[in-house]
Amino acid sequence: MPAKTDVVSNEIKLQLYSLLYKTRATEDRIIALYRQGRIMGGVYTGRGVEATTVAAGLALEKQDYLFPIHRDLGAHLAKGQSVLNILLQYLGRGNSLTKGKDSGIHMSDTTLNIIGNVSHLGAMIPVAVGVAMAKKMQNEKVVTLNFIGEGGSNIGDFHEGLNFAAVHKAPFVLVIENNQYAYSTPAHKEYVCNRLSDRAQGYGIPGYHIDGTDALGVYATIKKAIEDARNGKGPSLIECLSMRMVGHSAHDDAFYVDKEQMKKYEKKDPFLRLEQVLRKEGLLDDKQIKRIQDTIDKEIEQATDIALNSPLPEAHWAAEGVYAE
Amino acid sequence: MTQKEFEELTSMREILQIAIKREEEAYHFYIRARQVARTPVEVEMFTKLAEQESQHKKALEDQLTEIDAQLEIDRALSYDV
Amino acid sequence: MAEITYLQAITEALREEMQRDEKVFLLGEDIGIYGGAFKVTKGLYEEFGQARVMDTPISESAIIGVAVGAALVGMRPVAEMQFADFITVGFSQLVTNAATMHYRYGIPVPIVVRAPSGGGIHGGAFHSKNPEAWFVHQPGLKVVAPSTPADAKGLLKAAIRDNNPVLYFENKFLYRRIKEKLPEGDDVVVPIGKARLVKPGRHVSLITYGSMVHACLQAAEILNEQDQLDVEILDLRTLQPLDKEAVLSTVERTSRVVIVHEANLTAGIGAEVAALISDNGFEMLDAPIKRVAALDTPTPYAPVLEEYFMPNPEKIIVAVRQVIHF
Repeated sequence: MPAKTDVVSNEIKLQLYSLLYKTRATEDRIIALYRQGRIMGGVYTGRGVEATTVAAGLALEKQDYLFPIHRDLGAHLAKGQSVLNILLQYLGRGNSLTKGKDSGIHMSDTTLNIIGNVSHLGAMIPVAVGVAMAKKMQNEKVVTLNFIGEGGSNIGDFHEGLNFAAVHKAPFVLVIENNQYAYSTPAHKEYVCNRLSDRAQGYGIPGYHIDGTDALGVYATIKKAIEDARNGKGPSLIECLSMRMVGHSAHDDAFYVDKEQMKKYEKKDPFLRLEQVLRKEGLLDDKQIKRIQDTIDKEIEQATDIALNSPLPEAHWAAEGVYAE
Repeated sequence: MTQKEFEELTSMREILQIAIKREEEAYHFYIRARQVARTPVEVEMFTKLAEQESQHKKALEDQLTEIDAQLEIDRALSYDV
Repeated sequence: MAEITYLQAITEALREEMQRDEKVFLLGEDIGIYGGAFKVTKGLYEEFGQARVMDTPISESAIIGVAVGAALVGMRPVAEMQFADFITVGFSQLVTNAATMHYRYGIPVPIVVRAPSGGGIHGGAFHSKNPEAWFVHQPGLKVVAPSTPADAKGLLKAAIRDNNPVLYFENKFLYRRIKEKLPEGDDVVVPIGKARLVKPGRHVSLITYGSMVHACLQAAEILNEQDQLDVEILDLRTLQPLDKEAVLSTVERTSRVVIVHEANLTAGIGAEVAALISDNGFEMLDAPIKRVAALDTPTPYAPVLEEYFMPNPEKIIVAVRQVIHF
């Protein structure tokens, strides 16, 4: 059962709205830069799952650790990452967080307690559990949150990591972003259990199945799981159901996706949905919306300028930094 | 490893321990004999004999080490012996 | 000076490092109350408690992954694989996460993974593996393989203090078979990346590591008696990074080389050392480089098969005679 949303303050609601807009606008800019041939490699966006990733990122405290995966640009932003750092990273610039050594949003920021992912997404689960365990050993009330897709939930590390966390009562929250497709493979070919959150029972931990397009519901539920973890109650598994509204990556037109299902989820667009709720609650009107969006658009514009004018890495850096001193 | 083989190994361990003790006793016997020896020939003979016993003891100890080392590995492999 | 076994040297290093630095902790299967399958961690649970000597589920990937995570936030975990063979389950964590984290993110991953390796113990295909070459091939990992109690202790201390992921292959055949007198309470750290000249010689160099150091010593004795050959033995000790200087300087002294390792032959450490010599010391050689290694098969179980499979002093002697009479 999702937690009640009346615990979400107006301030948080507005932050969620801003972040949802910022996520979408930044991803749109990234796609534009990709189409212009300025960004190389893969571009994976969170269209359709933004409510989950943004709300989860925002529910964490400053001292908490975030382990995002490839569609979680929104969580990076919610944890405090700048649009500029994200664009520098995508553009492979020398002054990006990975100095051009890794792609997409595979980036860590130790000042924000964000640890980036490898492409074997499930492989991050045990690592995130390790951070949680270490913080517990260091007697700090720090929670670690990690995402996985419904696709990645079938890899062995999902089981090993979650079971390990449960046995050792690690302060850990695992969020399944169930967007119903693993590349081209539909959910019914990925698993046959009713809900992925039911797997929690097998580990003896709480499992929640919620609407991943409802930013307020996601925030409230994840916040509760985070505070439970902080208070020594151990890990939780939260399945957030949404729909990937684009292809697997920017090159993929997703011809294989069920069109009826797409239509259904178009009506549940996380961003428009929250906008409607906040308008109804009197927290937003046209003027405020324009002000918020203009501010963000300007930030993205400036960040793009700076990023495009930033230096490329020096070629010989490729040979450096394999080992720590 | 069958129970019978295991028992044999255990008893080989005991045999080696007994043998080592005997070599030790023999070594001390020759050392004492050397102390009461009166001629250089006698001294040399008992020294040589003591050395031989010492070498026997070393060979037996090496064998015991080998058996113990493998026993511990066998235990780790089979986990319950 | 107390005489301790190779195994006791490992236990001592763990104990002393845990006493020295409270960030050091151990995790692995059955390492707590039980003291580990081989009893390497015996007594440490009693001394340091369950938080620092952590029993885990059978989950090698989670063990290594958790170690990586803990290392990211300042801990110095030492993970035990019950047998080196089971490291395959945690392979991805090592090569994907541990090895690349510093290169991509600049975050050090100071973990040690201890892996009891090696055959000759009738363990069959899944309790005898020497998988070091897999990891030497992955940039970002360091790999060590001690052959003596002194090195077992000193290299483990160095591994724990190193800011990189270090794979520590301890040879379980040597556990209780090799003893050495070590000064008590001496904090000797054997630097990673430095080979050890076990025995100087004039006629041929045996370049080796791990259990084969002892096979080489036996071969050298026989070759001295029967062929009047003065054999030099170099123990690599660290396989990544290789001590290139030590390798080339032994080649310079003897001009003849046999590389010996217990792991199977193809694409093993021997191939890398041979390439290193070929690239940098070809003109110093008076004969082709020979390699002595296990057969390219899984480790067979029956003693007669395993003996045929393993490298041994006899096989080393044959190879030495070939390079001498080339």
